[in-house]
Amino acid sequence: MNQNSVFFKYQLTVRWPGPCRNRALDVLQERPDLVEQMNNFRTKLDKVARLIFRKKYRIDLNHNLQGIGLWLESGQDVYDFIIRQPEFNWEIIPEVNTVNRLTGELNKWKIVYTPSGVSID
Amino acid sequence: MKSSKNCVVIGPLFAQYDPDKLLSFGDTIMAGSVLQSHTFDYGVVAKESKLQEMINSSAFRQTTLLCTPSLYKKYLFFEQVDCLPSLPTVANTGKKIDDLSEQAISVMLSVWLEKQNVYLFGYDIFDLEERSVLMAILTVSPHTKFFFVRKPNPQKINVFDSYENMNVIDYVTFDGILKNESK
Repeated sequence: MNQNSVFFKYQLTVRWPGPCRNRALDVLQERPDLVEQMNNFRTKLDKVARLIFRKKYRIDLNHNLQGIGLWLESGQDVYDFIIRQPEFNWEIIPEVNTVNRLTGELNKWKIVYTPSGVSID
Repeated sequence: MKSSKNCVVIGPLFAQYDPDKLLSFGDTIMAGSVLQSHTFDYGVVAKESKLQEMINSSAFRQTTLLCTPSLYKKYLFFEQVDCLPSLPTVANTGKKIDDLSEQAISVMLSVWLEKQNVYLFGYDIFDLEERSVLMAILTVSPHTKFFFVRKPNPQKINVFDSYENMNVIDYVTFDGILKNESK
């Protein structure tokens, strides 16, 4: 399917594994072990995403110091991804960005974890 | 073909007019869930129960449902739901957006969309509070032309006489406008 016709409304950032976070590019050039760990993490994320998401998704290729940017088409996939974090042993930044279809604005919303699920502040 | 300068707001009252004609005329904004038989561009929702009903109804799958920020936080994970933009006209009504009706927010949205002509179908002006909110919108939107469209009636509506940007027309006159637009 042509990815251009898909509207990725939601964006999440999945944190890198602990040792790889907040590493500048020149540090990464000297640490191939970290780069390998990050690549493995990206591959794992892609494989799991392919398995669990019902609709389209896109993994950001740009380097982000905090984690991997993940764009999703479906809100239900976003919710599933958030609540299934412990299952796959990953951690997201507790924020979700949404693109408003009418205004085109990217809005940031804070995720609040509650005993019964997830809500937005 | 749709004209980008026209906008139709469909209010909560029953309008005896063919919705098919409206769909091809301009962008359509529906206040609430009055008409489920047609697919409109935007649906403005201010009540949670109504939003739930619209999310679950297959009639609104292709309609962008716009709701207030407080409501949007609860329904963010539904992709057909979006948050209303910041509407500057709200401040002129002296109310908060959560206290306004769906039809009033719909008119404000049409102003925000910078439409030249806004046609109001099935708009409730019998409620005095609604009427005063509409008048506040008319006052602060002098560059938008509003048309209150109703079925032919010999009784005149004079409440909007002092507003240069508001015209009261009937379905016959609107048919003429439609004909001119399609030429």
